[in-house]
Amino acid sequence: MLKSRKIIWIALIFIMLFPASASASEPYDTFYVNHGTGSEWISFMQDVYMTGDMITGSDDTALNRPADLFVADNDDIYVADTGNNRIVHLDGQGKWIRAFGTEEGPGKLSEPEGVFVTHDGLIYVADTGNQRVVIYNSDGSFTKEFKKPNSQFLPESYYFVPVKIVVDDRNVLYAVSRGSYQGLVRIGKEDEFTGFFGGNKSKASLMDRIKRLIFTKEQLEKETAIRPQEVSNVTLSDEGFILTTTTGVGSDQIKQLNAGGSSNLKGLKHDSEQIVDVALDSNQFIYVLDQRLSSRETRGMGTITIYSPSGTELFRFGKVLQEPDQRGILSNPVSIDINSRNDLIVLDSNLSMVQFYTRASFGKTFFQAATDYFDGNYEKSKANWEEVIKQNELISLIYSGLAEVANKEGNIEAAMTYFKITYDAEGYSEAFWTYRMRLIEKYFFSVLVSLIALWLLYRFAVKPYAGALKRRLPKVVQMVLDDLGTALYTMLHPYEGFYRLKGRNVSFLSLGIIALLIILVKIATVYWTGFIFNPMNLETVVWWINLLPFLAPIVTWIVANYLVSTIKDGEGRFREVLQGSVFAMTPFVVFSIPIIILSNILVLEEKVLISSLSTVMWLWIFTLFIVKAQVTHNFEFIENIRNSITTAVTVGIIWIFIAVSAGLTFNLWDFGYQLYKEVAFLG
Amino acid sequence: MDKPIWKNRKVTISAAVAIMLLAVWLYSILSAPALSGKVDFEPRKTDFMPVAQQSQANLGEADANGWTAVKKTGRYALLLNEATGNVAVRDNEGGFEWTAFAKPQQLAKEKVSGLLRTNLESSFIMEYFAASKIQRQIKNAKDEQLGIQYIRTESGFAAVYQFKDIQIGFRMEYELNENGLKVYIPVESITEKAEFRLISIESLPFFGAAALDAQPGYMFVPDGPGGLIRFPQTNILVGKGYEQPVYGPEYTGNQFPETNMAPLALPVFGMKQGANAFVAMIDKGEYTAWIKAIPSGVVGSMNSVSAKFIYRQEYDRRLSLGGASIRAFQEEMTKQDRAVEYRFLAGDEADYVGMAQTYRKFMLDSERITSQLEPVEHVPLDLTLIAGDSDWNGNAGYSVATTFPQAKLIQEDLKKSGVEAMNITYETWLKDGSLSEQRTFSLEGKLGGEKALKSFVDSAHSNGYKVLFQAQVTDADSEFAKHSPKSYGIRSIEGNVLMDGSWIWFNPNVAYNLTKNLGEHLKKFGVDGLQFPGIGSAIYRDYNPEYNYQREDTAYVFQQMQRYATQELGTNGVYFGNAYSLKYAKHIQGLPNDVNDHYGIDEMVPFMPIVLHGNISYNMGNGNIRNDYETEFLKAIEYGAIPAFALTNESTLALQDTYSWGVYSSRYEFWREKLLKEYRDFDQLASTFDQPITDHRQLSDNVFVTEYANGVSVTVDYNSKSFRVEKGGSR
Repeated sequence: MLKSRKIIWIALIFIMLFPASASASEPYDTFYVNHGTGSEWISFMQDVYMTGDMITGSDDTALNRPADLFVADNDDIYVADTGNNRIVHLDGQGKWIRAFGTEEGPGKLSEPEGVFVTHDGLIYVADTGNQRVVIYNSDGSFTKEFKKPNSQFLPESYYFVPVKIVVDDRNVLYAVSRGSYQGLVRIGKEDEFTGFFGGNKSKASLMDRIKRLIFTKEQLEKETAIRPQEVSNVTLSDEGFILTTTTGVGSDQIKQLNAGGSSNLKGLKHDSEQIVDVALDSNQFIYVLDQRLSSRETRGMGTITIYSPSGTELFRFGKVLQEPDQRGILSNPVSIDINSRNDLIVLDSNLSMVQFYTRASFGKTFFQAATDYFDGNYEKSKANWEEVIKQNELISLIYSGLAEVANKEGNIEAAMTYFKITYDAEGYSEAFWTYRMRLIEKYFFSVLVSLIALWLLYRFAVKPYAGALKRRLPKVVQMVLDDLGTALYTMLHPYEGFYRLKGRNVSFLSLGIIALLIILVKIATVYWTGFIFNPMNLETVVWWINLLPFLAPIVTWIVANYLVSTIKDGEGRFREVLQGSVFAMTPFVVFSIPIIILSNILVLEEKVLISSLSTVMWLWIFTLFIVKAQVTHNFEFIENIRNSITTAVTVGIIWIFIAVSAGLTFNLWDFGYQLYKEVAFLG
Repeated sequence: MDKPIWKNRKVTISAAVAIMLLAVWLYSILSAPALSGKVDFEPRKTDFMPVAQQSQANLGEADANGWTAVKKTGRYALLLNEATGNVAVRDNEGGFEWTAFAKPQQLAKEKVSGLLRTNLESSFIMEYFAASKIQRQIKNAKDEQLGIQYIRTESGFAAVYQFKDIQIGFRMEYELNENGLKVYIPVESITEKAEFRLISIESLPFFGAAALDAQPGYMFVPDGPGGLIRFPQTNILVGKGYEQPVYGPEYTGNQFPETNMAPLALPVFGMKQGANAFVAMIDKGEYTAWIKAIPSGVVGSMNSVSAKFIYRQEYDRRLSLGGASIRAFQEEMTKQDRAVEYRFLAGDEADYVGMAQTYRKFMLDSERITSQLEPVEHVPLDLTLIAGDSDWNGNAGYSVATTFPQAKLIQEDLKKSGVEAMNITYETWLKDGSLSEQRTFSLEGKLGGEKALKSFVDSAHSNGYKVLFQAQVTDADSEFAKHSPKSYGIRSIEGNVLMDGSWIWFNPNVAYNLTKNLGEHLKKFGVDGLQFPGIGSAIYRDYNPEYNYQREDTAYVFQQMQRYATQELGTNGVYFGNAYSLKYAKHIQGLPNDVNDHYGIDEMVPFMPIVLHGNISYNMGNGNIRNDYETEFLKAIEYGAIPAFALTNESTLALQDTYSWGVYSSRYEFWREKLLKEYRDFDQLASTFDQPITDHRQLSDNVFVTEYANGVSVTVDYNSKSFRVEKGGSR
């Protein structure tokens, strides 16, 4: 969060200080959205799409509040010119061909808001003002019309107000009807109504659920029904999928519907509530059009977002301003489509114009590589990736692509490096598996031999003399070593161990050393855990921030446990509680070290080993704490459980107290800081 | 039992700790280098032009249509129509007449009414507000409350305007000379005697405006390298016409741009109708002027281009910290004389090339460009090496991209590969790069130290290259810079330190002293010059009462910084190339290579290159960060730029999370081959390096030719993506 905000600032400053270099030609910026395992970051880049022609027409050919645009198979553009009550037909370059729907007769249109052209060249128009769908021949002559379908499943009160339409290969028509929360109206070949399709689910809030639980039937009836958001637009992909968009919702704005009408597109994320349209190119990349106004807050976002076929966000570009005065900036974009040359064509209702965006040469190379990558043709994509990386080194997908290529070519080290750059734990893990395999094949025997040799060395050269060696050490060191031994003993024999601790003062030196060990091991887990299990940029890590949430509960437990037990007639002194707690953390040191080592050896599939070790460790620690409390305070078992629960509650109370006082102190601190700012900056 | 409090050990210890902390705090404050705003050059003089004395109230006899010939020079005659207030300049050679606004019969067809209609026949449009209300109001010369008096002066005449109701008065003085017409609004002539305050004056808003029946032509605006708005229009109008501030918006009014609009670099505009044209240069008061080009259809059928002079800046006045704000106007009037000089062109000269050449002559004659390039054997490559920058992540610190030894290797490698001439600019080399604490001389430790720097510079010199260091002295991040923002930062119109996020701008005097500090130290290493990224693309006021700098003052100090760099080290470079930076600039990085895609602009022309070529070298963006590689390369060839790259030795990933964010491809290894190829291509233009551009025209669709004074012509064909250089006489 913090990082992305920083980025936006920097983008802003960069653009302001170096206006020309930030954007050599386009009035908007392009960003790439990089993805790693569990992280996301954006980078500024060259344009993928550049501003192309702007089609405004003049006099008779000028548009008026157009609402929809469709690019036919031959790249011809059809525009629902709502304000002029007609459909405008332009060629692939945006040159005027003709307009139709204005002649008196059955084909006369009234404020049409949607248009669709089938592969056979039939033109379907959502004649919104006349509440019907009209079909024209490819030459623009009236063929037939659909009114509200006659069906027992459609209630009397239902108005059929088509605004957007698509027709699939089986000649089934799907229409978005204004004010219809049920979903798309589906009309079959024989003009019969075959049901609603792909409606949004209503979302009950927590309050609604509570109401449903406690309200009586009568009370519930008085509540207004929760209606789902109505679908606002529909698009048909080349592969026959139907995509719907919904405005006014913050999630699931875009759905790719399967035959059953439910969404099968997972993970397509967007933060705008004003998504109006989507388009798909022949390789199934998804282009999403957002109507939201650009401001300083949305810097780093874009108006058009490009997603991979699997729904991963790739690029953002474009800008929407209330009153733009530069080409390429939009005012009220309503519709987007793409032609066979991969030009994006956007319709702007406020500016009454059609804006082309043409794919830049970098974009062409990138999309070729990316298409092959998403199809799994890694070898084929190699040449293109190598071209792309020469023009932009920051795009993480390049490294994913090159990593897969290297993987296929057997260059495992390279693959691992690439996966590491993109913070892709899964990919890295797979490559590492192979790498590990090779290492084992190569070094298994010598490692085994040296391990045995080491053991022998220890057994016959070190162990027999260890006792004598220890006696030679200074007294203090001996004492500490003994205490460490006790800690280990306590771990295995808790009752006995803690009982021995009772009434004995372990020296602060030993306690300090054990505590230091715990802290060091904790820091080691942050920095030395294998990449596969901790895929993040270690430079972003501030070690003491990681330490805080780890140490704070332990410290509060010690304090709370002592406080509670004193009231409840526990015997333990503070010193005993302290040393007991420190000793109880011993499993953390004992277990974490093998966990760290294992995390550098295991792959993702073997994660269970690490997670179970970790679970055992925490259970062990938990048990030790319970036993410690019992022994130290000399409680009965049940009494101890009760006492421990009270301690836990006390810990909670202490935390609430700290939070509240920190909040108050923060206000005070903030007051001082603001005062300083005032003095330093406000002259 | 009770000890005195000072004998209590705890009290003593806490007191000692407190004193220690105080001392540390004081030390940290005092250890920040004391910068001063005192400078060692003569401050800028402000003297306003005297208001012309009345010499003769009687202007002379009028002809049948009411026109009086007030003044004649060899070629031109200045005429005034006292009845309508219209002013005309007649070209005696061609007979073409330029008028301040259209004649009544032409205006009869206009459909607009009211103020918009009378504006069309006024020699000025004035905006003002009542002190109690913040609302723009407009008056023009057709106002009933306006008293007008014409008086003859030495070189023309003056129109004295006085509004009886709002008690605002000013003069417009017309001067006819050999070159054309010059129109002044002397600031001393402006009077405000009631509670009404002047906001702006548009002088001659419809001078030479093209009506619907005018010959086809275009309006020229200084957008990007130069932009044309053609008429008659072919498409329906989108937008409200072109209206942009010269040198960009004024930040101190809390007006940071929302768009990527690059500022207007030159205060000049023009109009061409058939075989006649004028170019208008804002000679005085350009720092707070806007250029307005209104195509037919916005407020009537006229195509007009003019200058609008701002006397009071509009700004957002905050009502609470970070809360709501209201629009307000500056209290004090910006005191500036205003002048626009119209020069007339006819025949072959009447096009954008003629306009640019006229402007170039004007700039050279008035010493607003003082550099002159020498002939060269080879075109110098403009290579920027990015040293690295501070990483914004946790503990990462400075991320290195190119150390001194690596820089040395790169230039040695280029020498071996045939790059004969090169200027190397070394960037973000200060300790902590962009987040430098002090901005005074301190090398980033990870770059290799002073010896390595010396060795790099010496090696470059022995190869015949020059080394410039980037001097980022105009702005800083206040969270890191140790200098007190209140003392050294510029202040906004409301009196607080101007900030964008945590970014502040140094007062120009401070920037000058920082420059001197860097210069003195860099001289020891033999560095040849400074490259100023902060000069040339942004200019601002400083409302700090200690300085109270106008944009003119800032520009003046910037010029002193450039002069210092040249005198002390040898050369200086700027960024983007706003007109005030041209006076002493030897080189410009990032000259605009595209127009702003403004709705009105139909065509891009090399106006700025024609003005500069032969006097100041320039690049048009770095080859490694182009949006459209081929086209931008060819554009640079067509416009006579020199080759440029901004590279790093390490992978660009090194800069990914740093404050040099925004560079996406810079690795030397990846760009080496392309750089060498491009260098060889550009080197074919070596003979034109010191030559002015004499002509530029379109041969056919997407084919353009640029001609130089020594007869060399460069033809660029965007269809076949190729270019060809022809020596003189071969045509």
